[in-house]
Amino acid sequence: MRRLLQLVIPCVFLSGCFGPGEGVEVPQDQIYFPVGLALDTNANHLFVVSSDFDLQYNGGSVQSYDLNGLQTELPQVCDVDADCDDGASCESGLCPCPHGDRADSDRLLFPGRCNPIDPKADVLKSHSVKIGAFATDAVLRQREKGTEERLFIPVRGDSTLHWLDVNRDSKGNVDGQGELECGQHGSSDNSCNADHRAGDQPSTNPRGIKLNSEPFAIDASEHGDTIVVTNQTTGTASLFLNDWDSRPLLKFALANDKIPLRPVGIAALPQPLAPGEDRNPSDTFLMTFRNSAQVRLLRLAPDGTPSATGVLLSTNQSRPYLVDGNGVAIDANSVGSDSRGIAVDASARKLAKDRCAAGDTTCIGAANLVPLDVYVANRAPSSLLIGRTRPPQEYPYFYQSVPLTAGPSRLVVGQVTTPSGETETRVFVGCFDSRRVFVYDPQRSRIETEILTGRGPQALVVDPTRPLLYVGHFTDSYVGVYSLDLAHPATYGTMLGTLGTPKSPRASK
Amino acid sequence: MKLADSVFRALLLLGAILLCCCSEQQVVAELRSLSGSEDAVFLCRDANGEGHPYADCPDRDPADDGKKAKRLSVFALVTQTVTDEVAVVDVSAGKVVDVDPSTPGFGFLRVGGRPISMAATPGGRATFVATADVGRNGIFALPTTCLGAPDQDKHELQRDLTTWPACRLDETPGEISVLVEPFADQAPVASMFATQGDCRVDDYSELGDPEDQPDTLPTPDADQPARCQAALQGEGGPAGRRKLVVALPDSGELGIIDAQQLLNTEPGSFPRCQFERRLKLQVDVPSGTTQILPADLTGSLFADSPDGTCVDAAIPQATPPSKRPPQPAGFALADDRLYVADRGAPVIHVVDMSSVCGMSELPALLPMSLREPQRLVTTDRVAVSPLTPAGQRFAYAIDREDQPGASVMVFDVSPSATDRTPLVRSGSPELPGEKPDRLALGSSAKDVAFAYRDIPYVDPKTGVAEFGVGCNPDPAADLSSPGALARTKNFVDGARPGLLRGLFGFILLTNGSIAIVDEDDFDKDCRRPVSGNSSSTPDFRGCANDDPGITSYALKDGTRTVSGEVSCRVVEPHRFRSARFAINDTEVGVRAPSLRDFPQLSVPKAAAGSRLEDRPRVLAVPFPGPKGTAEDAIDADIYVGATRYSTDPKAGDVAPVDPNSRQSDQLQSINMVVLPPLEPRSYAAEDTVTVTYEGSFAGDRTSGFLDETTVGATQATLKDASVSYCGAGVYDVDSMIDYAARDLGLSLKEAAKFAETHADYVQLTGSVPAADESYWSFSKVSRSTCLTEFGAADAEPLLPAREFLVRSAFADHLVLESRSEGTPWNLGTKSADADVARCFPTALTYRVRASKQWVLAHASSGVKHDIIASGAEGRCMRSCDPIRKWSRGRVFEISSQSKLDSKGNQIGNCRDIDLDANVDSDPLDLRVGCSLAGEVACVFDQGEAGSSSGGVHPGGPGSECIFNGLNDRFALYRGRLPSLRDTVFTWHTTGGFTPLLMSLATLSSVVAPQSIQFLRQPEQMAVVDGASQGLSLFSLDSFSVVRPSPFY
Repeated sequence: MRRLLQLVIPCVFLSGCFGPGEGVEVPQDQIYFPVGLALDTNANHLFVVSSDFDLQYNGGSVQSYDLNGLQTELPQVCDVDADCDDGASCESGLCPCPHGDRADSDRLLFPGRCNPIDPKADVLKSHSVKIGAFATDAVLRQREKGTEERLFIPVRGDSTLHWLDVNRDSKGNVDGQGELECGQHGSSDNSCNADHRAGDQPSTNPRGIKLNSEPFAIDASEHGDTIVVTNQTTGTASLFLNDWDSRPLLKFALANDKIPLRPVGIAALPQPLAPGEDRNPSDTFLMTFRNSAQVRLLRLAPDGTPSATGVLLSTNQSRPYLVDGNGVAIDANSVGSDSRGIAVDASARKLAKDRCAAGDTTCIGAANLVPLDVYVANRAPSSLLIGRTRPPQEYPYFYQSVPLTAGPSRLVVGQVTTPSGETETRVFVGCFDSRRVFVYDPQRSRIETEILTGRGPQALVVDPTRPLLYVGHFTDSYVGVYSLDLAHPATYGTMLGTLGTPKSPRASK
Repeated sequence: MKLADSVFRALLLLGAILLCCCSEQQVVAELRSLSGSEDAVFLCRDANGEGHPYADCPDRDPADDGKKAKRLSVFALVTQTVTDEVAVVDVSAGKVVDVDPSTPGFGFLRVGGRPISMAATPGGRATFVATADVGRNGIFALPTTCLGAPDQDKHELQRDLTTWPACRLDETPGEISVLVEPFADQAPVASMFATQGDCRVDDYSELGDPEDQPDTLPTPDADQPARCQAALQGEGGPAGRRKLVVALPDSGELGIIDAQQLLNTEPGSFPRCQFERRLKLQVDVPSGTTQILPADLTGSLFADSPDGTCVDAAIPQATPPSKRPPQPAGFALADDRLYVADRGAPVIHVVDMSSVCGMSELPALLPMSLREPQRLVTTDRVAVSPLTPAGQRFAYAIDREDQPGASVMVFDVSPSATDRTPLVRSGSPELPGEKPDRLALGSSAKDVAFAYRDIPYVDPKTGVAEFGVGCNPDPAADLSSPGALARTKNFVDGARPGLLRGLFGFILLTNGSIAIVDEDDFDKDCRRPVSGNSSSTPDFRGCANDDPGITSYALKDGTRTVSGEVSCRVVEPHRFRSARFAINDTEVGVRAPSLRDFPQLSVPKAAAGSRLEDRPRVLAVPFPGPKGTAEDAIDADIYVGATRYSTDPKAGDVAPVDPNSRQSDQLQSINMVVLPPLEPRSYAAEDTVTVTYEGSFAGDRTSGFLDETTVGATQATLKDASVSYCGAGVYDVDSMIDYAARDLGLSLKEAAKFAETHADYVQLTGSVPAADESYWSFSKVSRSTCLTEFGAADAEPLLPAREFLVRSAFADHLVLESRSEGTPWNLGTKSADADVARCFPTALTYRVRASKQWVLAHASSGVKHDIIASGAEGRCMRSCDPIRKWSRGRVFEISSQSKLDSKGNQIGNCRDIDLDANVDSDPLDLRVGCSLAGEVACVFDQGEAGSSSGGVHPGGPGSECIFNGLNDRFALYRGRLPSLRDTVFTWHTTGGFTPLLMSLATLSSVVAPQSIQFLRQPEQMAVVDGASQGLSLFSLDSFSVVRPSPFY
């Protein structure tokens, strides 16, 4: 870990020195220090954002993988031998690995029984593009009432927001094949073009601003119209508005003396739909900090009236901004500072809304008053903070703290499959330093299990259609696939497959 | 020889040098062996490893220590959720036990995944551990004899999962506990629930007759190593069969497992657990159940409320029966009743366990919230107290989803109690920051416990030390009686904050603090003021219903029989205990609320050159007596630093009450306020108070938007999602009419006129867009026109054109009207004249200010007010809820009556500033400013020059404007010049309430406390920390950690 830090710290200082076109070309068919994972809307493809944290290459990359193909590379879970094909035996809840077993000696650092899955395997139908170095995260959104999907990636190397259209062919038609489109076709190195980077051109907004240095966390409103990126050294929240017909543009950078300098987590709150009204133009976000025990609320202040579709115009002339809605203290922990990831679960509200008859405005109004669950990964002490909003107020209050092991960083809310085949909500918290992902059951208020991962679990994403959790292992550069199927408790939370060959950082060899 | 000596010395020197070079500063790194600690049990164990009842420990009699079986030690077992182990701590030896010395680091007892709960048998022979991990749920039995490292002599194998008798569960267990089922004569008896199988109540017949046991057990050998099993037959503690009660949250049941049957399980076999009984818990919330309100929370603040009730007051009501199934959580046992918290349903189950096998559910306790009657209140931890000498018993339960943090409810579960809802405490109007039915202290509650403790005083006549004797303050009591012996002596002995004698609650907070709650303090009667009040109406000290025969709690020689604290509310049941005496005394120091300094006046720049007599003053006012007249007013004491001032003119240091007093330089120059002693808890430990003329009270808002559909030329609607206007306390015209009529005694006609000038207003504080903004290129109105109309944002003062009257206030919007002539809101896009909508085209930056009045704010609690959102529209209105009795933050300045001659010139008992230069008299006479024409409220006659009236008096003219707050009592007199906006009086207070706390954070700031329990024998609180401190023991005498703990 110390050696890894020795690598990372210089990277932090050198990050501003990245110059495209220099250095060794990044191998775009490899997963390399993965920092962001995202699934497309139908969960057909996994998008992996690789960074260049050891300065070996001249950029990062984004790959897409076909999840149906990936599933054929995973061993089948089983209870008895009869569950396995071709008379194979069921061992520890798994049928034989499609590509053989990994040596026992390798399983200490890189858990999982099966040999790694080659990212270049035909069955994965992978696509890739080159992006700037030192990406930090990724978020994918689908257009409201549309089929277009976009991937947004903050990139520290050139302080931009990269954006990619996904599942579109080279002519721009939606084909759902996992293709990535960011103007790379004209380039010699398959890299995204300048039009697919936002925030580096002051002329594209009336305030003449550029994205501050060190963009870090990102989240977007439900349909990707509003995007907020935190800048982790300047205490800034940067606002982008995304025009689905053209591109996202940087609009505003919020910073004041009340906002702590180290924002590292951001989460969008769902739209508080009023019965019978169009969507509220004021998208709201919650922001967490490394150096302060608080969660801060940011609200979009639009400029002018939303368009007829309810989508905010992101033309050069519009002047929307973010309003600092003050913060709530985190007092559920003894210290409470050093918060990392934040996630919002609106499933209870959605469930209440789904139960309403069409046009039953009273019912919808009541559903909108169902509180939102808010979770924060906090390191002082290492814990999962559990909070809830009190509608119509949007501020979360944290009422519970669940101890975790060292290094909680990101967390996501997803579903697991129960023995009866239904789904239940869980919160997944990655603990980078202690190689664990904790699975918290909010319904029963308990840690359900802890998943022992490989080194450096960083990016997490839960498959909404398959009982699988994908974990980007930053340290050893691969994606682990873990079972979330409670019908097979023997393999629940265990690694089924390894996408990419685990590779230790150069300095740690 | 000399050479040899020289060589030797040289070598010695060289060696010394080398040694010096090698002796670097040693760095001692503390190794922490415990990680993820969550639950703990304490055992008493002899040197043979046998368990004993915990009451036998600690071993205070070393006389028989020659026998190993007599040397008793306290051991603690602590769950380790990270490593799936149970750590062993030898508390008596002060060390963590390594049960696997053969491998580096500390080895503990390995059990299944995620050990979450433990329970030991009453005799201490075995401990049971519930583990909860997917597919690996179970219960492990740890015989006490196997808590140490494997005994080589017994050929014991290394401790691992297969060491322990264990059984598996098909579902996740929750809390576990060991209860005792009385033995039956016949064994086993037929079950009442035949389908569930038999529930054994025999005297361990499966173990055989103890008389038939061989005298010596076979010596274990390598082929037959000793197994870790235990027989509960004949263990200490109450007679009866040990039964394990297991919460099963997923099925909403309690299950009973025979403890010996589990212990008999073949180690390593992990069969399915055999439940002898399962009890399906019920969620039966009767409709119409309400909380019982104390007298001070019933009725209405408004005398004209229909039926004397208030529609704004919280309606205590149990939530309707829920569809949510029960999820049993924490346990607490008292006598034969098991209280079971429920994470899923709004009940705390009460299970009759007089027969474990025949357990049955009694009517449940009903958690609910007075402030949020619609919220479904669930609980996860519960604690039940022992029975007090007065026959009372209380239960604490944690409302885990309360906001802003988990709080604690108190239930009366005394044998005679019938109320099943959370207690609503009296005195809540005096503690507006407190929820009437909750205990909360800034951080979420994590666990609760009770400690019953007595330090009896020996009666010298009988030589008997009687338990449960309360302190007796009656001056007539025998001085040698135990009750009199308990009195405060020199503030270091007897009744005092640091002496816990009685029943106390303990709340473990997630920030690492442990708050102590007074439940039944035996010494409470001696913690009070010296003066008595036999009336049933509380006086300003909070005293009432005292013995009519006692006017002063002091002996004839002046010796106090009580502590002499400022209030009768120093010790109150179900409230946090104070860490110090509430007293200002030369011996004790300044411990009660007092001023750090005299109130200071700050004036804006425009008044910088004004004279003393031109400026307003705040002055003290005595307390009203029983008749409420000036004659029977009771003088008030005020401490400024260590100096006592009094409104009594005969006192050594007189607090000024008369604005025209010329007794001394001090009396004619200083300001003064009284700090009412009614409720010491209502004072923050340190506070700063400001009273600001036309003060801004809703913060500097930056996101106000005009509603484009309603904005007209003279009226507009301002919306701001970042603030609740009612929550901020905005007084619109109607609310101010109500205030003027009810509180200032004006007629409705007068009140309406008053409100037009005194209702709050909005002041725009933002700039018009900068000159280079592209906005001006397409705006019809020019920037210079806007600047002319509204002025610059940094102008001082801001132009009146920026002020707008709040005609109507709602929770999310204000209806505003132009306050100055000709300031339009919106003239339409074609007009070139300035208006608000186009001169401030984006979000409005603004403040909400009080008009022609002062705003009182405490740094600790902000501006108090009685405005609430009412009705479907959320209209801001004054509340009649009695809990808002003291919610006042507006101060109306008092002026002096003035008369006008026929030409309108001032000729009355006040001095117009314009006439001042022509008056050949003392300039400090008649300092109270004149009332304005038509001003009818807050006016008194300050008298002729040289014959001062002495200021306003209780019950006299102008007394309606004496500010009589919970923490501030004063009269604010107008100066001869009109008060200017942002003129501020400021004072600082100290000596407020400081709760008595113990804290883990003194050891480390990074803590995650998990559980707390009272250890009766050493009278210590044991706290388990999940982060860094492992297990800590706190003394109830020093309130700090007892060495050698913490054990980590």
